[in-house]
Amino acid sequence: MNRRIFATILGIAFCATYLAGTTAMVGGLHDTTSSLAASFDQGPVLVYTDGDFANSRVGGDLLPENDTSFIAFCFANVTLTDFNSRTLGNVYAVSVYDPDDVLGLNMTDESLDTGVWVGTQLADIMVSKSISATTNSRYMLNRGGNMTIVQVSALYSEGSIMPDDWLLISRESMDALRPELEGDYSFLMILDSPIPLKEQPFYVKDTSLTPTSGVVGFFERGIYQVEQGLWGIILMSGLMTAILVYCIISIETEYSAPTIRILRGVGASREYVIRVFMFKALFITAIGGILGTAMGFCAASAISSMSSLANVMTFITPVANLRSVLLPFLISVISGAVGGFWPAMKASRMFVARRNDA
Amino acid sequence: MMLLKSKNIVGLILCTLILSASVPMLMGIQNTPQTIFGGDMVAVTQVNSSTKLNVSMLDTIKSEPNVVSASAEITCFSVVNDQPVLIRGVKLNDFLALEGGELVRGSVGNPERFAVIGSTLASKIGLDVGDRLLLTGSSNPALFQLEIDAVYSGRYSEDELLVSLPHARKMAGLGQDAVLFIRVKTTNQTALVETLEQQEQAVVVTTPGGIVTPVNTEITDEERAQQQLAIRYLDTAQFKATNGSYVSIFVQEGSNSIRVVVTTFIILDGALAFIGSAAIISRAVIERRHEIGIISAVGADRNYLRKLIMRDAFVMSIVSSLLGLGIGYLILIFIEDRGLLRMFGESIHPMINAQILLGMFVASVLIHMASALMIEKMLSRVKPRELMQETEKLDREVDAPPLNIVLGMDA
Repeated sequence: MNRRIFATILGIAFCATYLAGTTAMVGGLHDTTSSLAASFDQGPVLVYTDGDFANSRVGGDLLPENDTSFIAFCFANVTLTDFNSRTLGNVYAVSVYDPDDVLGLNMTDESLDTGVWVGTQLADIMVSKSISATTNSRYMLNRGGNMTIVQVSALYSEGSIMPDDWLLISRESMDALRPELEGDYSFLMILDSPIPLKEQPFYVKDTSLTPTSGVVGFFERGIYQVEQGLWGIILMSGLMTAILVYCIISIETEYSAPTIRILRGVGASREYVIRVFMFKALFITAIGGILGTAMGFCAASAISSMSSLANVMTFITPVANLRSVLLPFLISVISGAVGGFWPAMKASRMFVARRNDA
Repeated sequence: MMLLKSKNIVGLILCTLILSASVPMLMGIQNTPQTIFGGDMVAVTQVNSSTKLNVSMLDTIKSEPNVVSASAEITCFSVVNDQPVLIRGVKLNDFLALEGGELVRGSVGNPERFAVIGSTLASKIGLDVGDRLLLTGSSNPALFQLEIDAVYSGRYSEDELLVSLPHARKMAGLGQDAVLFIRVKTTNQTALVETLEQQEQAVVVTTPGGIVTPVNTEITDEERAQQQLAIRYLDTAQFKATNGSYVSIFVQEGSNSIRVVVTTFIILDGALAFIGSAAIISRAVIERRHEIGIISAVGADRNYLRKLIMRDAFVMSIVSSLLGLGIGYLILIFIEDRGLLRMFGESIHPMINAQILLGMFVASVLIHMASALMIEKMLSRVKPRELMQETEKLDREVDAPPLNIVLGMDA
């Protein structure tokens, strides 16, 4: 192996090191975030089929079994009208089935009328529209062609997990507003479950599970976005490998021109010449890729273990998985094939003018 | 012009592209936290979670003659349509005045109950005026069903969802009238600090350059750095009580690392460009080895050859650096316009200014010239006769055993 090829292998190894090290670091960051996310209490979990609760539906026959603590909600977007004909649109009316009375509103039995509760913010909005929001006030609620009349029992406190702009109504009123939802619910809130939620009966196709505290999910998904930046590294590393292979194979072609001419002269086909140079290109990139992948893990681990000296990224441990091992190698080989193809083609076009051709 | 060929220039352009497309993006990543939390404004924050910043201070600040505009805000972190989204609790008019933003679609009827989405975020997660969405709490469990009232465009981030302060307080678990920070656009920062000193409340003032000034309190540098980050991100009593400070530490470590990571990547990109450049110039020189050999054989000395190669390399590096910068700029604009690169819900805005462009141009030219110099040094060690040979001198020829050994004869 001449020094030129050795230098090229080192160059390709550097590209692969860059890629392997970054992939291993991002993989480590991913794993760290996932394990942190799994260990966090992210609050009760919402179960629904559509982010717009007015379109979401969870079957009443799919409610959780005995040991699972949950609350089931029916949701309707209604127009509220008082008996002075003042109206307020876009009011969120909700009926609550809370078998364990977690909310303390005594809504443990849907067959009973436990009163109508107004959130404090909704009350403020109603007052701003000159609609009285005191107890015993009566309103008409309209949704499409359906209507019901409700009478306010009380305001619910600001400290509740529920928004302060909801109007809590009975299931009977909800059925009058949304008869098509009879027996079913818009969404569930799971407070505690002894079995994984994805093994519960309500987890069917199109079901979404979302924790009520989003900060961990934010950072988890944020890390996944960081991973997309890897494509930039892949592109740069691949491009550079292709350039290196192109250059080295071009040089080799230059130096091997007399040999190629002789080969062609004695009858070697173009495909044969292409095969020879492509083999050379792939051999160089494969060696560089393997060397670089190994060096990448060494470099990433070294950076991780020495990071405390610079107070940087102490929580990331590089991860060697199938992706971080195969990706740099494959990118190197693919780039090598791309970079080597053109000079190999050029080499295959060389021929010797025979004496009797002149 | 011996080396000046279009394929060599194209190769060097690709090397320059590695710098010109990545460096402004990396610097944009480094700049993102400041863009989100400060922009070119002064941030007045609470000292720690036990001393709340009251929204009433906003009126005091706004009444100052040197204050152009101010906005009391709470930042929350949540997930919308499976995407990480930064939620900002604001008084909408104050926010728009401070940002120089405007509502491009829709309107807000109730200043205490609204959801206004940034135009970039709207297109990214497929929400528009009239759509309803589920919003959960940030560090505090909560849920909201919100309807998008309007779409805004602003000078800084258009990747956020704006909600009312009461909504944000519930998401972050803050008490009534509490906010996390007040951003202030002022013509006189010193006067602002003096005004705040006359108030009894202890606060921390952070300038756009990152200079932190405690007002009516004394904290150590270490505490100051930790608190600034903790306050801005996740410092709520309830969060600390339930989940500890892991995420806070995580964010803090991450933020501290950004500068080092970005610098490392810039150095690595420079090294990649150098390797590529060396390969291309090496190839260009070897392609002309025969001519170089002839020139050497007829008496050209090393200085003459060096001048010849370096002159061509200089012309190529100037042309390729200019073109590489131009193409890199177009790529960056394309990525930015389509919001292709995002981190933690925020589009990365590449940092492009005259200083950075000039820096990249000089760096690119220097890299190309350094690689040319290296190749020239290597070339000068080769004898003219070897350069003119049709085939390369192979090592096995040098080390070839004597004929008598090959033939099995004694000397």
